[in-house]
Amino acid sequence: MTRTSRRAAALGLLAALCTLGGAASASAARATGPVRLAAAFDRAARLGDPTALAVTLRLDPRRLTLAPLTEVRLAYPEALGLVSSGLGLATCTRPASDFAQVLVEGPLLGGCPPNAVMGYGEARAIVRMAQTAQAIPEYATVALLAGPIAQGKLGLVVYVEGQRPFGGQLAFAGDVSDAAPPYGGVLTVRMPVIPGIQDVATVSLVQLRLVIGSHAIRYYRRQHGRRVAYRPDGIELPERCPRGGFRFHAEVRFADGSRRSTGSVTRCPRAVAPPAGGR
Amino acid sequence: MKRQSLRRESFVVMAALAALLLALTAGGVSSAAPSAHAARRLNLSGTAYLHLTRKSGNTLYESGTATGSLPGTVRARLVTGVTVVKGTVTFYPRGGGSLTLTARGYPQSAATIVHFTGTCAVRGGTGRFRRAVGSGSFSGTANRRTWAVTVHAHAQINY
Repeated sequence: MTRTSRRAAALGLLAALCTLGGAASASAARATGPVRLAAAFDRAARLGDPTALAVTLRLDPRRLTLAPLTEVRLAYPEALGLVSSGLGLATCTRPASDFAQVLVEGPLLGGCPPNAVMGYGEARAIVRMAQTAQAIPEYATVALLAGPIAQGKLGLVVYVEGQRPFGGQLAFAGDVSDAAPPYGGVLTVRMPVIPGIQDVATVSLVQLRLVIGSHAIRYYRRQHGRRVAYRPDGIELPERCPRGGFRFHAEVRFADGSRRSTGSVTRCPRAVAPPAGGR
Repeated sequence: MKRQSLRRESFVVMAALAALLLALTAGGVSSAAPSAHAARRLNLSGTAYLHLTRKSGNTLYESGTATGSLPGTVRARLVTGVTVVKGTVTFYPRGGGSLTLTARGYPQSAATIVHFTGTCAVRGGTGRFRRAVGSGSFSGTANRRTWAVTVHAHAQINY
């Protein structure tokens, strides 16, 4: 990889990174702030059953600081079963150097086991070239993987795969920690500036959509000596809805020290499945 | 005059006797208390084998069997946090009564088979364990695919 192509890839990655930073947006459809969050369950979700959780974070770069995004935090409701789900049955362990250089090479998902995948998503960002001021929209895919437990937190690894126009793979570290009620935990993704990129372009994350427990996830287990693929259970919904619905909260932090936060409330899914054979 | 003096003396004696009796009675009650409720100490050690019966959000409901000092059945309600699992576990020994404890466990890894350690506090029970108090520790494994849990526990209780 030449220096130029590496830089182009890095730009793409940066854009993807920015996207990564995003967390969630849900009932925020009517919100007017520069950061909006929305969270939604499967359309067929039922209380007491597992479901996928789609979290969308939208950022309005025109109303935010130009400083790079450095951290995204998403707090999820206490009643949701993330640990009790079937997700993250394996651990993705990467060297610290991967997260320092951000732009990484190697196999998809860094060669981490598929049973570590907790979610898939996509990110959109605007890459502004420093010399020409040209704004280039970048699209990337995102994968969220479970990392090892360390210092009282569950580690996370986030891979951002630049798709178009820039390619390249970015690796970010994060973690899940316990949170005070009404939240059950906080997902944090740290996004340091990609070394060697800051003078070339600035990347502004516009949207991040992450589906935890995505239907696209495939795990593998041994059954009668054979490797069998299956879809792991997603986030466990409680049998009763929390009063006022499921509350989410997101906070984004920038390199200049500024922060923006937003919240959303997701309505309760249906409680019981309709009886078979008509009304 | 002499008669009045005798009456005063007998009153003083009666009052002194009453006070003495009262003091003796009070002392008797307090000394009798321990014998009426002689606390027994029990060192518990055993293994519980649990399986998932129900899930609701971040809460797991499990039941199973226990072997060791108090063989019988076990039920547990476990609230899963990111790095700590809190819950209530109730043992139903074959000999009768029940023993309830609160537990706090910490997973040591994040994989399909999770090893954990923790501590527990005995919070009473029913029957012979209705006044039980104590504490202990445990370790074990949990299969995060099936939520089958094996726990080795040690506790000391007074009841």
